[in-house]
Amino acid sequence: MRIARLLGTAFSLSLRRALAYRINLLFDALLALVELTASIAIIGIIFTQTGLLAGWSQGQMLALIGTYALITGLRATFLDPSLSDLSQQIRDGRLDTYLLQPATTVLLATSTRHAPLALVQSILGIGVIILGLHELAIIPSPLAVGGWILLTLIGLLIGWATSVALASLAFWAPRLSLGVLHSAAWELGRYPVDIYGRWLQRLLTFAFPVAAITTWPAQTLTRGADPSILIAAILLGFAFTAGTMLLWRTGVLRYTGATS
Amino acid sequence: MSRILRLVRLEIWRQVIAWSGAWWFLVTLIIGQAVAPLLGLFVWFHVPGAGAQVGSYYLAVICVALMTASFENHTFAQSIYSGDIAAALLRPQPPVIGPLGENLAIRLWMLLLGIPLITLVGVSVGASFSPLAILAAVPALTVAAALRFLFVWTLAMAAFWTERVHAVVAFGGVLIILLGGSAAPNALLPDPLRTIAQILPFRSMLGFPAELAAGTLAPADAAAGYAISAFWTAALGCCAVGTWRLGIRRYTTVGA
Repeated sequence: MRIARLLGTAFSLSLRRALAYRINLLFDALLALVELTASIAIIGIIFTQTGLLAGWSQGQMLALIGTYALITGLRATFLDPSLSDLSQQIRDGRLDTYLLQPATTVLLATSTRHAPLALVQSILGIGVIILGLHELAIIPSPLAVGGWILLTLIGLLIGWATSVALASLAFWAPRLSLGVLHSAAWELGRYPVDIYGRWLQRLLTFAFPVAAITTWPAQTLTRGADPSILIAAILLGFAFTAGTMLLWRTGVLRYTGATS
Repeated sequence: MSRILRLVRLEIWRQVIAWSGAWWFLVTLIIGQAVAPLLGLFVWFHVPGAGAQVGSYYLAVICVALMTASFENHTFAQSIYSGDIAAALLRPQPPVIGPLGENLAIRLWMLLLGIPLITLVGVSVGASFSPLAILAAVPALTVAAALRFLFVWTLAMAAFWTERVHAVVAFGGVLIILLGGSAAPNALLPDPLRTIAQILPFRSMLGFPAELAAGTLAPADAAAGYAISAFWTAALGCCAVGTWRLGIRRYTTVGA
């Protein structure tokens, strides 16, 4: 409860700061709209040449693109502002500030700066999901919607865990910056993992689980909930979070601050 | 002219040395540039009507992307924000030499460090190119490199007016991916999108040299492509000069 209040206050402060620059809101909204329109256009182009892409129909692909935009928007809103310079903070000692505050350090360092304007992308994403469901002419069952919500949240959690894990490597290798690599891997979530080769599919399920981030939520929403997928996603979410927390704690023990 | 070329060469050399310590970051930039064409490759491999040359085409797109990558929104635009550009304005040389030299140095490093990735993709897709097709693509590649620099540099000059330069350049990036031949080869675009993409400059920045290298263009289409590329190089050159003149009038350095 205390954590939720803390995050709520941080979001409120960020929102007030962001609304002071309304032209920026226009830029962000326009860019999100253009990027999403381009993604939909690409899906349209592909389906002028084929009826199915690795077993996915156009409506299912739209649901996947919408889910990708939703999660990417949530990540850009709640995680990216803090995570973008986390390695730098570890490097130059600014992490000290968080260590001295009376709340969970990893939460303060990775989730308390927000970019509320990026939520535009998530809102547009929900619109694309509705468009996809309309194209499929289906109304998902409450179980499928529940499974989709759960998997989307797990996807966000895995996105957080992988970003923090990569940034935590700065405790050992201060000059290592893997943010661009993470963004590039994240891009692979624009399409279902079924389009990649066997080895890459395994990599994108267990090493950097793009499958759990976008493919499984879209699959659950459009084809119905599959208990084995839900269990696998929960286990992956748990494993990645536990691994990241362990890495973070080991890293913090090694951290010597700005002046020591 | 020879003085300018000497200055460019010196700037490239200076930047090659400056970037030599950031090889790991350069590797991440290579992956960032290659991911969109790789996605296109994976997608079109699953489409039966995409044609046998799609693997070679996308390998060529990856090579073109690495050799034409431009990051002026990170390099040049930041010097506007920080005021560092003031030092370049005082030097007795055209201010474009700094961003141009850094651009070419980064591209050299990306090509060098990208060779393992190019080899891996080439072997995986069984790509094959005829020497004649590669020769025909070399001038188009040079024009693409110039066009991409002019395009991104002009967009990066938005930093004179707004702090959202990354959004402006990202908007241009979306157009290059959609219409430039990364999302889909030009021949697979539906009409009228194909015609629009052929007329606009984005195909000349990425897909056109790749189509020439893969040997998928008829001589008449190749000639038309070269004419369109030449037109856009002149047009974007004029745009870049005009934007620079407008921007520099507006610019006030730190402390002024």
